Amino acid sequence: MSYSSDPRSRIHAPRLDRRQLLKGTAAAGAGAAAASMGLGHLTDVSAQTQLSFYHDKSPWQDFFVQLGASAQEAIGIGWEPTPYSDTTSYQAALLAALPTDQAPDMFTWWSGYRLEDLYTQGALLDISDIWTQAIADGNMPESLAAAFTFDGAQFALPSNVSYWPVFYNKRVFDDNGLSVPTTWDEFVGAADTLKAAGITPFGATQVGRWPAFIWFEEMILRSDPQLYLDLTAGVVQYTDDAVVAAMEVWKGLIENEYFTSFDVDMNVDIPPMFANGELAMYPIGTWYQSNFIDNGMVPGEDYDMFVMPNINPDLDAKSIIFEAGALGIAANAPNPDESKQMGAWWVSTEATTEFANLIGDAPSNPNAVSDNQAVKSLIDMLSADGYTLYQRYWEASPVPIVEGAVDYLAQFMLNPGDLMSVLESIQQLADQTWAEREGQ
Amino acid sequence: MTVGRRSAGRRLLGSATPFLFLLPALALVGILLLYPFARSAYLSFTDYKGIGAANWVGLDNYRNLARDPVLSRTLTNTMLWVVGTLILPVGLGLLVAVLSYNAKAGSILRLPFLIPYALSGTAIATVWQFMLIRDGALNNVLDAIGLSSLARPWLLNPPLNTWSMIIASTWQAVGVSVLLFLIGLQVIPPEPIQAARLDGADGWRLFRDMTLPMLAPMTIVVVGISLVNSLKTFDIVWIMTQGGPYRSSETLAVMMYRETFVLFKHGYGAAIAVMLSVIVLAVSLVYLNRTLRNT
Repeated sequence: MSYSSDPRSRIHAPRLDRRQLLKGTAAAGAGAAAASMGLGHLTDVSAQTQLSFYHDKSPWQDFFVQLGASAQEAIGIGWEPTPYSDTTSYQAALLAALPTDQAPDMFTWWSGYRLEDLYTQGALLDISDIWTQAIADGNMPESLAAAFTFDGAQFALPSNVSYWPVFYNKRVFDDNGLSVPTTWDEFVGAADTLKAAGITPFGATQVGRWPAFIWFEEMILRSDPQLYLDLTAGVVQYTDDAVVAAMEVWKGLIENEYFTSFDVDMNVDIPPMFANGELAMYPIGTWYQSNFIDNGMVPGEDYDMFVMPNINPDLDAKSIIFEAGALGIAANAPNPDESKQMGAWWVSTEATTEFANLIGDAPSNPNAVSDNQAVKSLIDMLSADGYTLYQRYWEASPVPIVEGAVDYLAQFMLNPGDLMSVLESIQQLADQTWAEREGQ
Repeated sequence: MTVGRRSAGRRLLGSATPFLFLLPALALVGILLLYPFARSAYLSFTDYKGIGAANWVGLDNYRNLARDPVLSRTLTNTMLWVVGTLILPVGLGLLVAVLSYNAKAGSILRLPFLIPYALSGTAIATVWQFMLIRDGALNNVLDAIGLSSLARPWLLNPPLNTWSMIIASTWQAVGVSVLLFLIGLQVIPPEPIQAARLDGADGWRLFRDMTLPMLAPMTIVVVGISLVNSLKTFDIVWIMTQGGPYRSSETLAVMMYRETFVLFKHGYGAAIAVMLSVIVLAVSLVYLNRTLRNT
């Protein structure tokens, strides 16, 4: 796959810099940093170095251990991953440790606005030089840097990259004479057919709070990608007519009873429902596939993916949501030089290929090739058809807005009649948050 | 002079000895209880975000808390927990203890109530969540026995979701009430009860006029513990609903946790913690003051 044809080179990052906090491009920041730092001085390290590495992806613990062993072999530096099973406890522990000499060398976090507080508190090491080199080597698309860039410099690497297509059960589609929908009418038509056959067309839930934004971001993006960018950047109001119209479409889907009950658990209930054919389609990140595979499904054979069609038939835009996890190096890291060398190795083709295939997700490196047929087909399609990538809502807007919005969106899912009051409430939160940020 | 000084020193040491023995306990209380409380109280006047500087913001957090639209719902839910906990686990615990005390198969009757007490709150919450979701075990059973009209989404609508969780919590909490009331029943001297029986008291009257008043010391303890625990309700709500949907089942403790550790508003969370502590302290003082005075 050539660098230029990869969808990740066309990532359309949201305007994180609207309030002048996240500004500059990868090229500008990385170039300046490369001039002053370079990576050449990072070669003289001890063969015995074991870095400390904290993360909250406990299901990936064995994979991280394996990558540490590979790194030890490749560059003489390993790490000891410490998993946290609870994200909230993890965040609290990390925030307490980062300003002290107990900080780990490396740790996972979230990109975009979720990384901002760590940057403003000086908890992150500037790693623009790693980005410069990786972009030059074609190991990272330049446009991905925006999700990790503050004031023109980069402060984290992608720990993993996922796309957000719609997963569908192939057997259910075949049994009901359905093919992959390419227009909104076909999409809704498929839902009608499935519902008539006693199958739940779409998966959705508000359990866990955050999943409430999944259909919201799709409704906005499928109405108009520019609307999605403007809304997340605070340029357009949540009460704007275009947003209301998109939400009305979602409301129609809810009123037509196309969805699972909104109190199902996405980790416990949805995978078996999908695997045994009770549920036909589920929009979610490609990282979620392990849940299907654990239920005996084979990627590409039992399930596959498509991109949700645009609601607006006149819209030519080909868009898909992406999500990037972050791998940071602490400003107080006990071994900053070795950590940077580990970071440089982490984005290599060798490491990204091994890690992506272990977790069964898409590789962040355009030079890496996935061994998951469904993922490979998706990436090939995104490349061939020139899709633009949009950052997930969770990271694309300031944290207080998103955290409040998911609760209000859950209210809308359960009480669709509350549409306007829900949008007004989110807008109030947005007004307050943007005003506070401007005052800082 | 030397002898006088020595004896004065010995007297001083003698009078200080009890305090020296108390010192380790006092130090532990100071370090583990008083310091964290003082620190929380201090943070409640700052804008601390969990990282970086804690800037003094005066009473801003308390003003914002008073204006927070979620607060009234949270206080209502907390009150529901207090009322529900006093009626259900305490009332049911008393009933089971009295019925099973001296009964032939008493230990068998008590067993189902005691086993859940040994389980962790997280396990209880997970099991009940599986039972109470819309497609869960409870609604399936109701459908199977022809009572579909009673099936509903137990965790989705307020205040039903809070009541559902109170019932789930009762399933676990009733065990400890049974145990404590049994201990209370065992220390009641048999003579007054026998005398009352000879005088013709039996059944409900014997329970109301003799057993219940003589159980008062234990009742005070059980009610007191339940009161404080219900005001601090957190784990079962966090596991089952995370305070949702749309913050409709949040208690004060859940709100505190969410603001502090999910939204990183440590200063604001500390203000909620201080308010919760003041409420718990005030309720405990009023309750103990009244009940101890009456007994």
